[in-house]
Amino acid sequence: MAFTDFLAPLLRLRAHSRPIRLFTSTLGLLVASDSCLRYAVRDTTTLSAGLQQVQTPLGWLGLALLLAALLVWLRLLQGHQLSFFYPLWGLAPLGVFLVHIVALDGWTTLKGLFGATLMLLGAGLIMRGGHSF
Amino acid sequence: MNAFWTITLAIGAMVAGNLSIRAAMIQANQPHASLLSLWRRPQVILGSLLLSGGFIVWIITANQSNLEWSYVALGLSYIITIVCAWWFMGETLTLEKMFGAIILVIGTMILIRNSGL
Repeated sequence: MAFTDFLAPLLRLRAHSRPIRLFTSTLGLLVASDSCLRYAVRDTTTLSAGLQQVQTPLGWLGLALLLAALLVWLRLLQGHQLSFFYPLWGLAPLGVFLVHIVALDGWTTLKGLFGATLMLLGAGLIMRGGHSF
Repeated sequence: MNAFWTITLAIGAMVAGNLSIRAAMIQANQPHASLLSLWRRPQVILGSLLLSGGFIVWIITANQSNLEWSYVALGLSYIITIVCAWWFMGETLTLEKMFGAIILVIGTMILIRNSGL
C-alpha cells in the first residue's frame, strides 16, 4: 500500500472542508445558544414564564446566537442534504456536556462516557453511509 | 397544554421548518445565491420561524420537564426527518444513516442519564 493511501481520508476531509466548516459553526453556535437559553430559563416552571425569561440579556444573547446558527444552517442546506446533516445536530448535547464539565463543574460516570462514545459512533456511521450532496 | 404535547408540537415544528427550508433550497437550485435573496422566499421565512420557534419552546420545556425524554423525542425527529426528506425530496436513505441516528439517540440517553446535565 502506498504511503499516500493512508492520507486519503485526510485529503477527503480537505475536499469537503466547506460543509464541515459550515456544520461545525452551526453546531458551535447552537451549543452556545442552547447554553444561554437554558441558563436564562433555569428557574421557570411554566412555558409562559420561560418565554418571559427569554427576554433578559442572556436570553437575547441566546436568540442572537440562534439566529446566527440559522443563517449558517441555511447556507449549508443550499447545497447539501438535510437528512445527512440534521441527525448530526444530535452531537450538540455532547458540546453542552463538555461546557457543563469544563465551565460548570459538571460530572459524569463511566456509563456517561460510554454514552458519549456511542454518540460519536452514531455520527461516524451517518457520515460513512451518507451522501451529503 | 402538558409537557408531552408541547414537546411533540415543538419537535413537529422543527421537522416541518427544516423540510420547508430544504424544499425552498431545492426549488431555488442556486447553490451560490446570497442569503438575502433566499430570505425573500416565503418557504424560507416560514421554515426559519418554525425551526427557531420550535427550538426555543423545546429548550424551555425540556428544561422544565424530563430532560432524557425530551432528547429521545428530539432524536425521533432525526429519524422522521430522514424518512420525510427521502419521501418528499428524494434524498438518499441508507441503513447507515438510520442506524447512525438511532445509535446517536441511545448514546444521548445514556449520557444524559449518567451525567449532571
